[in-house]
Amino acid sequence: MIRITNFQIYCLLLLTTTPLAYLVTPMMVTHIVDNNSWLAILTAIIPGALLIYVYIYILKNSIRPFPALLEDCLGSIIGKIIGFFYIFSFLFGTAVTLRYFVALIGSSTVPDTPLSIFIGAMLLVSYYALKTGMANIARVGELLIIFGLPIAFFIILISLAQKPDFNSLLPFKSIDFESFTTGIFYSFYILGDLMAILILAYFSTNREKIPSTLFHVLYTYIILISLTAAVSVIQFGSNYNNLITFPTFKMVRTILISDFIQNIDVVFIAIWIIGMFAAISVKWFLACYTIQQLFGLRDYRFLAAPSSVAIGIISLMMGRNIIEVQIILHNIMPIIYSIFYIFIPLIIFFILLFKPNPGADIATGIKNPVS
Amino acid sequence: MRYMRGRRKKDSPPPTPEIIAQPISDDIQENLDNLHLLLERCSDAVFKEFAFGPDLKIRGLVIYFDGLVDRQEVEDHLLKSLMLEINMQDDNKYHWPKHDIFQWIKDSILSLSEVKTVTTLQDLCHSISSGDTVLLIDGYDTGLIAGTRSWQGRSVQTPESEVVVRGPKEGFTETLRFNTALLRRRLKTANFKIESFVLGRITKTDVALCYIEGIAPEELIAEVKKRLGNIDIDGILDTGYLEEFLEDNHWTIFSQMEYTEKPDRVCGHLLEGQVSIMVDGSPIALIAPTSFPRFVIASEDYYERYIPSSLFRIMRFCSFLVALLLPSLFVALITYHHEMIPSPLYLTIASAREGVPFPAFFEALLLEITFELLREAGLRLPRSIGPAISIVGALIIGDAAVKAGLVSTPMVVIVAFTGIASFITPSYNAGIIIRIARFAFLIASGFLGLFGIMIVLLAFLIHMASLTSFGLPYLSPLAPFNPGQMTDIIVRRPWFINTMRPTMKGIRNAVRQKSSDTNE
Repeated sequence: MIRITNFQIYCLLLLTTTPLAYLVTPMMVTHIVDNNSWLAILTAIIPGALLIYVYIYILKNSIRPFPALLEDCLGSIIGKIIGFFYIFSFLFGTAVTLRYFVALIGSSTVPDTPLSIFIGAMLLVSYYALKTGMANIARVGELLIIFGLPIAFFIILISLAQKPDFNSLLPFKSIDFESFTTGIFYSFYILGDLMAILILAYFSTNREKIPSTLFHVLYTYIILISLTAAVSVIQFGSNYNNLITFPTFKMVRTILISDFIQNIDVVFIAIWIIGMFAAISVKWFLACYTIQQLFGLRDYRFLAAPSSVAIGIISLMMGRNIIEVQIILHNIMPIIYSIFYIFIPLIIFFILLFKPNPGADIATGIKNPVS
Repeated sequence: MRYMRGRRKKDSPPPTPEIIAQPISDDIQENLDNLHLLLERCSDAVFKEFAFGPDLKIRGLVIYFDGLVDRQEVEDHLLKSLMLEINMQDDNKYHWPKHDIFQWIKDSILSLSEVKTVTTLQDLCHSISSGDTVLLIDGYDTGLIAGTRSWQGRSVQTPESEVVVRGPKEGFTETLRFNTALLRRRLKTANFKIESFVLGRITKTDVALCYIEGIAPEELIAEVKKRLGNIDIDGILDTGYLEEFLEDNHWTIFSQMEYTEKPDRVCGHLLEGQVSIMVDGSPIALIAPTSFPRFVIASEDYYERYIPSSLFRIMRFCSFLVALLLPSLFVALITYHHEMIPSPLYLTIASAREGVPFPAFFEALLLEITFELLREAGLRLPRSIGPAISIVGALIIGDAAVKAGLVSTPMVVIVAFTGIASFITPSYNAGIIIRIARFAFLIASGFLGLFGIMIVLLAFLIHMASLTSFGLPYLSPLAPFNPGQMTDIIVRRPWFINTMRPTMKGIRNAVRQKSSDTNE
């Protein structure tokens, strides 16, 4: 059975949640709450922490990893049916992440290249990662965080040094609580990706420390995204910020160092590609692992090939342009996240709350060892 | 004719495999006949028959291969003792034993430090092929092996591929025993073990597995022995043969073992719990396990003071990235992402490229291939003219290509700079990896710009992360991340705080300094 360290789990969870949010969340939240976007993101720490408590409780009180725990809590038939839907949610999540990323690349970096080339290249790399196993993805994830996270913060720091107008953050008091709540929700729902812990925790070398790992992911996510949102507001002001499709992208593009280093958005995208790769790989792994567990298969890696076709086709057919993909991301994904990553775990949490503690060795709950 | 083909002559000798499997006979004539058959057409085989003992009644036979033995030693300590000195003794003083003459000669007559026994013709042949001399005595079915190995070999010299300014300059030679002696001289402990193996069905090559007992993990030693034991090949001529057998993953361009010609470097690795494998006839020692970041570390780092060493090491890491990525980045920037280049610089590059008929990608590829050709030619050309030819070739070809408008000057500068950067990597096998990988990056950047570079980078990272060297993750201590050990990878940790050995699974004594639980 594979074993991954808690730091690797931290990296994987951060890579699952952050790359897409780094680009999308500041934009979405700024559209809703203007200059208070960073405050909304900061406040998302509260529902984020509650969600983490839910996951931790589930982990402590279930003897088998996800999706087997669905059968334990909801019965064999309902558990299997819901598990089946989870497969689609993970595959759809992977396809949306891939399509959104590819649409951005296609529109900004190498515009004349067909999207299918990007999708094919990205799927090929992720497929290779998946074939080599989860432990390998975890190692690569570690590398990406060690180098990528400091660069992400560095970009924010440099952006802040361009033409900052701190007055853009004012006024605080003009908060419309309805929009603010919506803003919090949009900042928070991506944290539903942390549900991956219900699978990853079973491979941990130190399960007692999983709660602190989850909270570290939450803190890093909140700090990074709220800082990005704040800096984009400081940089462009809330009015102009509302007109920009990707404030983070624009923020990087405006960086100018010594009148020589300019337009480094391409570099940012190049680094961001790595983050997106990890997000795609982890979500894809979740899909394959769920299939394996649901159908009691020996291994999950052989599922990478057939599922790659599904992901490729879904992501190609998802939308004709980036606007359509954005509509999916803004309107459909929050619903999917709410149902599958927040609502259903909540139901399981309540079921486990009233169910006697199995008291079994939770580390041995995996049906088939994963290599 | 059909019948003739399958028929064996009545008195024809048995085939060689049957003879060699036989034990040594107590009839010396039979042994002599068998050995003559076995060593037929071996003009360097020397058979010396003689008689000794009371009334010269005992027949003896000495066999060796000319050129592999110290003839002086054979004559002085073997033949002279048996043929002359033993017979010149006065009968009163000299008591011929009544029973075991063989044991008496072994213990009392042969004045050689290394005397062993042999009972089969196969072992006898192996011994004489290794440079030993065998003595057979009539009436005894056992032979005596006298350690008389001595052959012409290269003396200890400075290794050409690992030049250092500060630090030991000795290098291994082609003689295994000299090489192990160079290690033994540095590791004056009984815990330093050298286990011998004979590999190669025909070559019978001596292979040595070196490690420090009490530091090297037992599982590692057992695994190396197991893998060595599984090798069944006709010949081992260099450590390169073994490397491919011993690696965890065969289908990769990444070398999973380090190699060196420097005994001090091997000792440094042995002190860190690794093992070394050496082969007779090769001046290269293999070191296992290893990880990729270690390829950027030079032995000199540990001889120079830690601050300059650390700076040099950081520079080496940077040059590693330059050697790997610079041409592809340049191609990506001027082909796809020219908005990133400041206008004055871009204009300079554009004006230099004006009239060049090839796209930047093809231009870079052309120059890179030319550079590799020149480098390869420089290695193969005779030493006296090689460097001159390669330098002149590079200058003339580069200059002519620019003047002909086939390539631009910025591209020549980029490729030349990349070439220089690739030589900074101290490990030759890492240099090979860079050279191969650079082409992959170049092609990817030509087709997809920075996106292509990142995709190839990811593919390489995934591949490297999937590799192991005797169970040690290939990217450790980067992945799995080990912050403590990273301080001796990115920079060179000062000796006064370098209290622990690098973390390795199963390492038996992790403490380097101020430890009470050392073995000695």
